[in-house]
Amino acid sequence: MSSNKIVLTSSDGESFEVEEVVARKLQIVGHMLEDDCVINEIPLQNVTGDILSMVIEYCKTHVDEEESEEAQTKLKTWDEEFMKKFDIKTLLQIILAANYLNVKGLLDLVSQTIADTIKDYTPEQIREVFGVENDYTEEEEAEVRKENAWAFDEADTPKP
Amino acid sequence: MDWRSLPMDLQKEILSRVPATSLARLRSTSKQWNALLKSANIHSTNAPKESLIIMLEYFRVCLVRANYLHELDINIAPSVNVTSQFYLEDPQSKSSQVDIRKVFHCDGLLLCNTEDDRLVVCNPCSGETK
Repeated sequence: MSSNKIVLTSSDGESFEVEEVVARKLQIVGHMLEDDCVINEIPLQNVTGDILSMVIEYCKTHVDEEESEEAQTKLKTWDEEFMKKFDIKTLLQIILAANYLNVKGLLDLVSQTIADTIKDYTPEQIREVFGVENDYTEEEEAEVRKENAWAFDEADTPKP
Repeated sequence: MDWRSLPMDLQKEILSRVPATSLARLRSTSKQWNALLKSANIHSTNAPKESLIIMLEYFRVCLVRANYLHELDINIAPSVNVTSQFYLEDPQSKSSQVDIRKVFHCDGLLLCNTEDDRLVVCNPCSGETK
């Protein structure tokens, strides 16, 4: 693989110079490079610089995915630590970016991290964190809660 | 950044990784979430479609297969069928089956409490009883 440099530009005009192997981890870029091999600057309209820099950090770390168990474990630990840096709202932005840029590994990682967070949330927390409007009437809400009362046993009290 | 900024396929991708108990709890979040969680494909990828349950029917130990294939639409109840009944010989009189009042299982063996209050251990694979 050549060590050709590619410049990725975010929607807010920030530029990142990365090696071609790293840029190819973004499948959207990979496809562009296949279509026309002489591009060296690629504008990415739907991602801001701060989010793009995180995606690039992920891609740099995952650039050579070795098969060995040791390397895999190391990557997994890195992934976990990497995810701990972000709050849930940033994770939503990263998942959108990973989807747009088509980075499969990151998409899986962030989906799982968000799911692991959501699983301990109460409905009240979901509404607050994700800006979901409660459109139930009081009676309707009570009815749905009653139907699913079995699921409330352990987690009825919101966590601090 | 709000949840609704995510495209539907990403919302489903995330929720398909949340355990069923949590999903049931989250149905009271809003009408839209309720519809989303009821709508399909959520869980179709990683939930068990079928499970085997050991239970008693008329003093006999049975294997019951519960089928959740209809989970795609939670308005349809899962189907439950008795798939087989174990023939458990009475260790005292080899000719008859033993009547069982309670059954417990561990590591593939069954511990049965019989109608006449004895404890019988059975290996359902070999058909042995003791």
